[in-house]
Amino acid sequence: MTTIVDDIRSSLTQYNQDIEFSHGRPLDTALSAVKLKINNYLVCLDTIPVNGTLGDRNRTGSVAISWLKLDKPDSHADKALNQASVQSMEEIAQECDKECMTWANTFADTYSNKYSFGPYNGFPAYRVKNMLTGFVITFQVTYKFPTC
Amino acid sequence: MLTASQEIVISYLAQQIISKTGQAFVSKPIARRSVRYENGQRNTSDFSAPVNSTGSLLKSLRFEIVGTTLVIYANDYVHYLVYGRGPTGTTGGNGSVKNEILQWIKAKGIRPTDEITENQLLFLITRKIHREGSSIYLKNGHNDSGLLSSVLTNELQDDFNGKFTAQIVKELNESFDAN
Repeated sequence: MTTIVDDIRSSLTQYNQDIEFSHGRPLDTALSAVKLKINNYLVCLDTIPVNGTLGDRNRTGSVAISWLKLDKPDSHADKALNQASVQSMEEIAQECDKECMTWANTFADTYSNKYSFGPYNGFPAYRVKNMLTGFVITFQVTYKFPTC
Repeated sequence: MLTASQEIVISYLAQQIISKTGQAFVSKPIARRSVRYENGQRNTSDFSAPVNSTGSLLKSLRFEIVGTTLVIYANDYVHYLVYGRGPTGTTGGNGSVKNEILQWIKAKGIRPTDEITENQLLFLITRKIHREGSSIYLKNGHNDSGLLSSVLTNELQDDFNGKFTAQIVKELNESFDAN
């Protein structure tokens, strides 16, 4: 039986093959491990803390995913201040928000027989490590088990 | 060790703190007291003014996440802007006051009057501070001048806590306790 991390990894690969995926690593380690290209996404999945033990019907996990993209050195925060050809940080964050939520809904549909999902919370992330902008979402999953 | 999303949340908090601190430097009036001697009489006068003049303090603000600790850096004399600089004791100064005052004179474009030179003006101002203490000290003693009191607001702390960090920490603790 696959773990939720395996399921997330598999789902992300199917969603977009150019995603660089990192699980459980601090940002510095994740960045140094991947050769992130402009316009590709870095998706960092935090280690999932789990309440309950295997077989527990109320077993839950808290998922936090950071969906990030390289911002350009001259990306201004606001769209209004930006050159037309350069994506602003605001636009990058909105793009990552949209991509992340689209994937999250796809994941929830695909694995609805295995997990039930709590509401999503999210917030934008600007100029992290002076180079990344994106969106962070968190949600709770409850593990389902087949009933006899 | 922080997870990726925790580091992002803390970076966001740091950026907010630095922004609010910079605003305080530039625009928050700090209560001060000046001292003048006229005909042997010591006269004081209270006034308020922001602390930022040359902009060097503002430019010095930066942050670093070291392990699980957020560290905010600024030029070391920010301590005196919060707690005042008292008169210099018998050990003498280290020249730092003189350097800062010289930069301040140049940044403000202050021209000495009464046919004294810039160096003489620098000497007089620096001597005054060594003898009496800074204007912030004269008004507040070594008590908190309130420069940074508006930085960590309840709103900022609530926003930070709202970004799930506290909940994640709680769940991690429960997970460790259960094991």
